[in-house]
Amino acid sequence: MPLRSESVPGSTRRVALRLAFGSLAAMAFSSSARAQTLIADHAAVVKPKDIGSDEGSFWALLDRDEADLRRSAFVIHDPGLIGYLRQVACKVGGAHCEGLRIYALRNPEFNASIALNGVLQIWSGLLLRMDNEAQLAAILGHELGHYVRRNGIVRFKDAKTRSGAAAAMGMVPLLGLIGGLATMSAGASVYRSHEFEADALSLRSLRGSGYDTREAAKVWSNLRAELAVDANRHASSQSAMFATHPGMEDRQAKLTDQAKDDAGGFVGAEVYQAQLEPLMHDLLQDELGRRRFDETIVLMTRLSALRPERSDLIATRGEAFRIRGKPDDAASAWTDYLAATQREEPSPIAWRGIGLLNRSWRRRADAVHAFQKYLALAPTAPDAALIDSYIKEMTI
Amino acid sequence: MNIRNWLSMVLASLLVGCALVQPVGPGEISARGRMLVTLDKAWNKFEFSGQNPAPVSAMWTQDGLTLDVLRIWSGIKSDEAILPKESEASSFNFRAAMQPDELLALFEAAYATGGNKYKLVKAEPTTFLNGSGTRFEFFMDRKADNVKLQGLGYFAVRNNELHAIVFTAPRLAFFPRHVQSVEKIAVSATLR
Repeated sequence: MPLRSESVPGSTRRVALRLAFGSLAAMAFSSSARAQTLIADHAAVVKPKDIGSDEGSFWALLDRDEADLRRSAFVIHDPGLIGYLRQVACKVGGAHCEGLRIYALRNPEFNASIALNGVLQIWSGLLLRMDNEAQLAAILGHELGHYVRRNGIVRFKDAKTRSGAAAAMGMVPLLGLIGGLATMSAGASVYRSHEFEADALSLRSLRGSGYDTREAAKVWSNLRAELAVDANRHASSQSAMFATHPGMEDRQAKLTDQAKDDAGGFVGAEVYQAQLEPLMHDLLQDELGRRRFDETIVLMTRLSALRPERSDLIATRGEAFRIRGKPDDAASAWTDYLAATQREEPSPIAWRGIGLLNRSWRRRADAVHAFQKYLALAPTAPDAALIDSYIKEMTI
Repeated sequence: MNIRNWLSMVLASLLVGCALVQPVGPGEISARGRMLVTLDKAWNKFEFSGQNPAPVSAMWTQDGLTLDVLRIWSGIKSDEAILPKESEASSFNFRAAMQPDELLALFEAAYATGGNKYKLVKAEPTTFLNGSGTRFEFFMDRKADNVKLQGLGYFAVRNNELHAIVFTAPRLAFFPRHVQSVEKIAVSATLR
């Protein structure tokens, strides 16, 4: 995954130490043996008894971070979702899922990470972008791959060395997180092979647990399509995680090749969507809040093609068009809003959008009608008073 | 500039001594640009000399910038950003034709930058700068330090220029402590 193998919160030094990762356990495997293993075949990950060791002290830091994480306002408190994530992790990772503490975090970017102590973070922007359970399983399998290979230890030792050098140069106290990031990035390329290994391990485990392995590569092709709309923005600018990971194109190609002889398997689009349903309103609002409208339009086009019955996806694309405000965007927004109002459960924001466009075109009666529809569907909306003022302004 | 960068800048500025803190008020003062306000108590005005990019808003505080911040924008012209120019700042550009709902979205984006969680609580028409304006309230979870903030803002467009004041402070204690002063500032605001 373009996922960091580590959690990030914490003090300067902790962050500097934590921001990188490698694999000690991986060295214990011959490459031929590795090629056949599944996640479930690996030895259980156990907490080091010697707290004074490198690994023990690092584990203790991570545990302390988890206490902070638990209190974070960004944690999504949805037992149903967390239970589902654990269930999928158990399918792909066997008994290793028992050692995980899973946190879904409200963040519209695409990321997931796992720490040596079993703290698995998955961001809401990633959840929004998964089409089905098989893709989610590919992500969780990748993270579990890092976990069972204990990739964190080598990266921790490497980061520790680098942060020591940074401290000697006076970087860490002054620059804090920034210095930590820069130090970590210096070693990023070293870790890319671990990402390919984790991908391969995940894919084999997907196959072993009955998932459609061809979905794994689609995670990357979908993300590449989103990012391709902005030629000036490299993936690494989207998230620090991409700086430490192989190119999406390479990963997509390898995963496609590894799945080329597979056919069928469980995909689980409906069950995945059912789990995400309670979050969808917030996820879509957060997505618009990124103000990456070009990317949002690509994403919503894909998601609404998969689920054409939904009004919120097409209405969100309409919002992206309207707010972006390029030539012809108003017409595109209008088309999307109208389509959204014709779904079985019309999205309130579609009616608001129609009202706003009509208002800007000075079609007063049509604007008032649309705003009234909006307020009827969303009478307690935060902007209800503002929209009501628009109605009054146009009916005087 | 997201909040993490901003906090880093504040810290770095304080360390090297280039942040100038100046008490302002009570009484009528020039807040920024053409905006005049009347303060019922003194505020601390922060200036960061030599800051690059140049600040686009004034920043005042009662208890320290990491706690409460009153930001004041005045005279923002069409196609100017409400955040300092950075690589991604074009998304934060004000346009003179923006309607209140679009300006709400603009401020939401500005305060949500850097991964903060923003939730609009209420938006309503009001009188600001002796004319029509918008008042809005919001909650925000600040990612950098996980603090739960509350916010109150006013904005209006006059002669194709944006004028706004937005106050944020921790939901517990600090926001309730100062919000009445901020409301008075908003009510008193005029343009020269």
